[in-house]
Amino acid sequence: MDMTNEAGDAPDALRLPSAAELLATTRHASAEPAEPVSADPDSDPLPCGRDPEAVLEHAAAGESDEHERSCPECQALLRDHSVLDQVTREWAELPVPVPDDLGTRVMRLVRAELHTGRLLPLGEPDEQLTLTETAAARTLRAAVDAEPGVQARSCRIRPYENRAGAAVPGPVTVRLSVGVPYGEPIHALADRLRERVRRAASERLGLEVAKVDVDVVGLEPAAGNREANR
Amino acid sequence: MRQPATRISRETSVLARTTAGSAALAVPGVVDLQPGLLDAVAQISGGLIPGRVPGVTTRVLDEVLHVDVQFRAAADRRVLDVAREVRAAVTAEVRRQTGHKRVVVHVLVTDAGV
Repeated sequence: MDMTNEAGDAPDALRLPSAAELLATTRHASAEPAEPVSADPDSDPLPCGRDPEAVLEHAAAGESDEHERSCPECQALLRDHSVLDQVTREWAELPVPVPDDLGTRVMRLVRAELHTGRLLPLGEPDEQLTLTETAAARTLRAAVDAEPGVQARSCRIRPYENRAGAAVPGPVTVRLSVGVPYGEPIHALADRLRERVRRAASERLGLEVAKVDVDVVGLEPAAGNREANR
Repeated sequence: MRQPATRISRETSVLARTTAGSAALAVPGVVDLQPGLLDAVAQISGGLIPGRVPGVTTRVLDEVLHVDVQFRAAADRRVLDVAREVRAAVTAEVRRQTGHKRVVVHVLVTDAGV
């Protein structure tokens, strides 16, 4: 879009005319000065009784009836809307500086949105309270990591489901995958991890846990061996 | 057959969203409202979309004003307690400020403060 004036000079700082200036221009050009109608298409009808949104729709489709073409209130609404439309079009054509990393930042947000996981109902059925699986899993993994020598790898939480398969408030099922220290009795360790998970779920989140499955997927060096290997 | 959604004025919906947002933020244990994808993209692009409150959306269905609030919780309170308190506070404030009696608040906690 060519932003230069008649002399070929660029206008100072891409200044757009203000709404007041545009209104003054359109009122001066119109045959009949009218009060601006501050009707909001989402609210009350115009003083003439017409729905503002309907008037705008008819005008956009070229189907204004005789009343809308001659009524001062309808015409004032259309004039104000055309001013807004003109300003919007001019602003839309302005060059917009785009940060180089905008695409990367947007994709990071999209991935974060996709990674919320399941939604876990909290409290009572009529309370409409929900917690994302990601948030709950983070809390439970931290509780597991607090066990000496254990490293939480993944945590999936399945909500309680009714007979229709819909998630409803109730005891959840947790599946953990962990790395455990070599030489540690695994069954006893798994029981301790289950207790940690249940306690964290209850005290930190307010979730009841029906079952905790523990998958041991890695063996970590025992603490003493780690020191010796340094 | 369900009645069609009843529209509320733009002013009322904006008032409901801003009221809900401020009421939620006033609850101890609420770290911040969690913007949805559209608002988050708008923020990193340099601005906010007029009339929107990041983390709060409203809709009307069968003359009931539904308010959805998303927030991040702190680690020092039980998430369920904070969520209940947010729901109660937002419900009371939106009713009081908008005059709309039938209000249902849906709460989503997106972080538990670890």
